Amino acid sequence: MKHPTLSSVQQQFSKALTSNQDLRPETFGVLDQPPVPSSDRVRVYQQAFQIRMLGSLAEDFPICQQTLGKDQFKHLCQDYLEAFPSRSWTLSELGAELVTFIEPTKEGSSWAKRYPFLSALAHYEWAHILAELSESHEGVSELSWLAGLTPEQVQNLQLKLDPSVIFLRSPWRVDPLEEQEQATPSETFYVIYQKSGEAHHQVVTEFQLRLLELMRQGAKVETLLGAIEPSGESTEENKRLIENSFSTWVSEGIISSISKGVTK
Amino acid sequence: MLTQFKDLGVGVGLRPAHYEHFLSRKPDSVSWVEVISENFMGWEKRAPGRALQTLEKIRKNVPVVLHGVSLNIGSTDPLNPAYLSRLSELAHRIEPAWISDHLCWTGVSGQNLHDLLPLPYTPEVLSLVRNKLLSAQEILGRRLLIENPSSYLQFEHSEMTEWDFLAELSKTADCGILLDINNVYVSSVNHGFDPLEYLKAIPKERVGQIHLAGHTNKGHYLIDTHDAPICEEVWKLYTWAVDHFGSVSSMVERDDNIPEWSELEMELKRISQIRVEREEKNETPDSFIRSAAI
Repeated sequence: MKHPTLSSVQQQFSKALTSNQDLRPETFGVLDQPPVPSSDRVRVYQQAFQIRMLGSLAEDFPICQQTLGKDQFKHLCQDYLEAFPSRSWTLSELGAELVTFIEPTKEGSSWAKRYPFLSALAHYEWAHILAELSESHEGVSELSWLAGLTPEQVQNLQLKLDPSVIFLRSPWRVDPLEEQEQATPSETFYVIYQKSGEAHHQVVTEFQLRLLELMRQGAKVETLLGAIEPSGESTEENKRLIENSFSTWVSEGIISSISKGVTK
Repeated sequence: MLTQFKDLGVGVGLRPAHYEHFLSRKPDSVSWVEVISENFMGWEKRAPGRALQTLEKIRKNVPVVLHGVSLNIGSTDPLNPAYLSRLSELAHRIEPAWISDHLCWTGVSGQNLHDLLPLPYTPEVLSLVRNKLLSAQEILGRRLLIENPSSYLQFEHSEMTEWDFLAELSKTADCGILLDINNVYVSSVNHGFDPLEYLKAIPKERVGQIHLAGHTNKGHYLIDTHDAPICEEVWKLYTWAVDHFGSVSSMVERDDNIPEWSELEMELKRISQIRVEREEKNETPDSFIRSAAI
């Protein structure tokens, strides 16, 4: 009998691992080696594949798994992997398309219908993964030199965000799900960042988010102070908000460097 | 360019749980570490981030070997140029003592199955693997070490043993061998062959590194889980291998159920002890591969 080609072996083997259909090891030439049946031998690989893929997604989306329950989450992962099989050399990228998959207009829209907050939650969790994987700087440790600056020099300061910082405008407030509370359909602004090698988040106001976005664009303090006026809130309140926010953002490493800009 | 697979001594597969022991200085119990290449290569469209930052700090304190799991050398798919480009960049940054991967396939038709899958051992497959390996070595500008996999099935149409296939591959592709003693043992139980027959067939001058690890006994077969201490049978084979191959760079791989560093050090010290006993018995280590540039 003519033996199967390597291409055929690998296609059939791949199908056996990724599908839940009955195993047919004879179709790709698996040797019968009693006492362990050929199907059991293939099943070792099949189970390892399932455990590895589901385990990786569960590790990246723990709140999705906790909220949906293990069985539903497993079904979600199976649907997702069928639509988006891994094409990356690393498992760390496996969940990269889950948000896209769950979007109401995409393949996984039935999931979005059943769980309207799920896309927002997956986005929130994936942003944490990206922040954690990102490069990150040490942060600002010495601020005493700021006291000696002239008002003009202060206006020229540039506050730089850590490269790990991610802004997320979410249509749902999903962070309460971490404490097994309800997600609520209200626009929420998250700042997600890395601190001491782990991802953290802060919920901020739209005004604070605008300041952070300006910092990312390289704006000087002068520009940031100019942004206070059109906010609709009173200037004094905003000044206090800015002072408190800056202090927190520096201590959390969201602002990772302060430099003297070029003076006019 | 010349590369050498020399005896680096005793090493460990470095995992994040033990990074802290390497960030400020090198522990006395090891002289080198092996890391999984793909964990530091970034993605195709995303630069490597914090992981590489950390590895560069560790590299200042200890020599590093890169061990890959996605070269996919046995697949009918062509080599992935983006993968090789990222691996090459990583090698440039880290300057590893060498780079290794596995005798297996990990995916087909562009899909990565993220497992070390078995090959039928035929002349056609040998030709395919040899040609891909030669290309990969040329692109990376260095010889690679290829590791024997553990396996749970064999193919009816295999025409040679794994050890003959690996020996022939190492000669015709002029590559080194990363000999995983635990994998030899696991496969010997799963397929019913004599592990010493396997080890004796491996060309001594090609062995550049040895892996030791634990496995799980499922009754009729063993699974290469890397989640348990090294078993006595594997220690015996290792002792035999050190006698046979000389003092080759040897390390412990642990990927799950990772113990405290102090517990892992017990196994590292046992490797040292076996190597010292062998060196006292013989005079000069004889496993030293010199290779010419490709």
